Amino acid sequence: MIYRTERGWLGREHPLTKLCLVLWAVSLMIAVPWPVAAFLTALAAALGLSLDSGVSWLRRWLLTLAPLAISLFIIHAFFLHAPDLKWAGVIPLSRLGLLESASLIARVGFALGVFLLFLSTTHPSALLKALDAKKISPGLSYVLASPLLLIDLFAERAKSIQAAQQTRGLSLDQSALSRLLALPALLVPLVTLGLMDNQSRSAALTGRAFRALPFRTVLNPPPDQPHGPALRRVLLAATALQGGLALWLYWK
Amino acid sequence: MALLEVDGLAFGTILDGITLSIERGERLAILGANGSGKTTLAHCLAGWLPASRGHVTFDGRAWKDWPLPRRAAAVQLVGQLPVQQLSGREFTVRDEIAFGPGNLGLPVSEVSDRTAEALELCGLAHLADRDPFTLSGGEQQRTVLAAALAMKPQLLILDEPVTNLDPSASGHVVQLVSELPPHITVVWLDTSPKTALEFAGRFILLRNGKCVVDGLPRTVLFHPESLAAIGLPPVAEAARLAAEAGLWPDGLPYPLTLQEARASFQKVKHG
Repeated sequence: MIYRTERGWLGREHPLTKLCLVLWAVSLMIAVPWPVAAFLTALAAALGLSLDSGVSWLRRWLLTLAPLAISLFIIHAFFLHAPDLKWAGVIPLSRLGLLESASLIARVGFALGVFLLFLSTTHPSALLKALDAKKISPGLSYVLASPLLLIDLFAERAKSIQAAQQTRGLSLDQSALSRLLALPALLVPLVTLGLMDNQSRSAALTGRAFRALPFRTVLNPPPDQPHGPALRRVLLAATALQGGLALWLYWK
Repeated sequence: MALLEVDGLAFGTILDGITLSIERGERLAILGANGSGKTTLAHCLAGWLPASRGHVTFDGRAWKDWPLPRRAAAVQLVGQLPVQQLSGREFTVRDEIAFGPGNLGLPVSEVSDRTAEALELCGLAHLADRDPFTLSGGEQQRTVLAAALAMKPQLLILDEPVTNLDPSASGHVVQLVSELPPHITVVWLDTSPKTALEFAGRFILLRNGKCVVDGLPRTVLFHPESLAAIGLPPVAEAARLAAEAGLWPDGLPYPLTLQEARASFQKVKHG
């Protein structure tokens, strides 16, 4: 699970306030020029590093961002535009492509950083309870939180499928190609079992009246901060404003 | 009026014209070999599957006329794989048990009381803050049972609930079911009569999707169809072999449980 216990202010903040913060950050990401986005990315990274689990947060952020950043750089700098520069005096690349990739990497890095900050400081159960306590439809809250709920379950199952397939002779220690060829043997049972599980779990959920009413009662919902409701309203208003501004700038 | 009435129930080729009625507070065991249609019957009894022919009525009304919250509060089904019956969206045993009552929109105090009561009843109070997915099979099955009981159902259907459990975990579940309040009607479906003999007063043999024999445990278990489909409990089988060897007195009934066996052996010893 990405979540780690956090004693700082982000850990104490209500999950819905953090969710609004994510929405605001994403709308900000598309509205500001790229140097500002780069500054915000650095800010998100500094905030991540200040968490109790800062080092593992930074490692996860870099490991997720790096492949994406490299791909964006290669595609934009080398392939999308006519080259007008020489890298190390030899390799041709495009100045415009470089700027575009820097802009995209800064924006994606910021959005990814904010999402990871949210995931690392919000337990899925706290998010679900917060949504339920605010009378959000149980179905909608399940859809919002289910990716977080499934990560652990799928990781555990993938591990057992891998062990089972290896005992049957599937080799995962060979070349990259042989590992790639082994992927279907791991993925097909994972998907099949997931689908089979869905049927019985959905019957079990229905049997316990899930989604029978438009809201549900929760025990021990996460406590809200005194400033929480006002902050959420401000963030949502700012999100709408920034989104509108970004659209206006785009069409202009 | 019976609590549950089943009239000419058929489901595809799995169930074929089943007719039975279950009285309030009854402890009924439905026995059958693998593939006899037990799980499909359990799902139809609980209203989870619609009948392709015939109908199932609960308290005089067909299941389709029951709104979901009322149906869930009236009947609960516990299956053989507890891990598939966990909600998958709760991270503690306490929240897992509170999930159902929470869905009924009950006040917080009522949800809290029901949860505490079910935790206590199922001996799970010390595991209340554990993640249900990290529990042993027996503990998970008790969690699922507690979650079902927290709904305060009138009818509890248990479909092979101890099949995958070791003897100790299985014993816990059987004891729990034996001690349930008398107003809860229990339907226990299993391949073997061993556990059901501990608490069920009526047996039904299901074979090829049909109810073949219905009656007292002894009547059903010694019926030729039952002998062919599920066999005798081990103590009764031992007595039958003793009788074949001329070691069992004429007229002394074969014991079905260990308690009956003890009494029978004392009678044999004292002539």
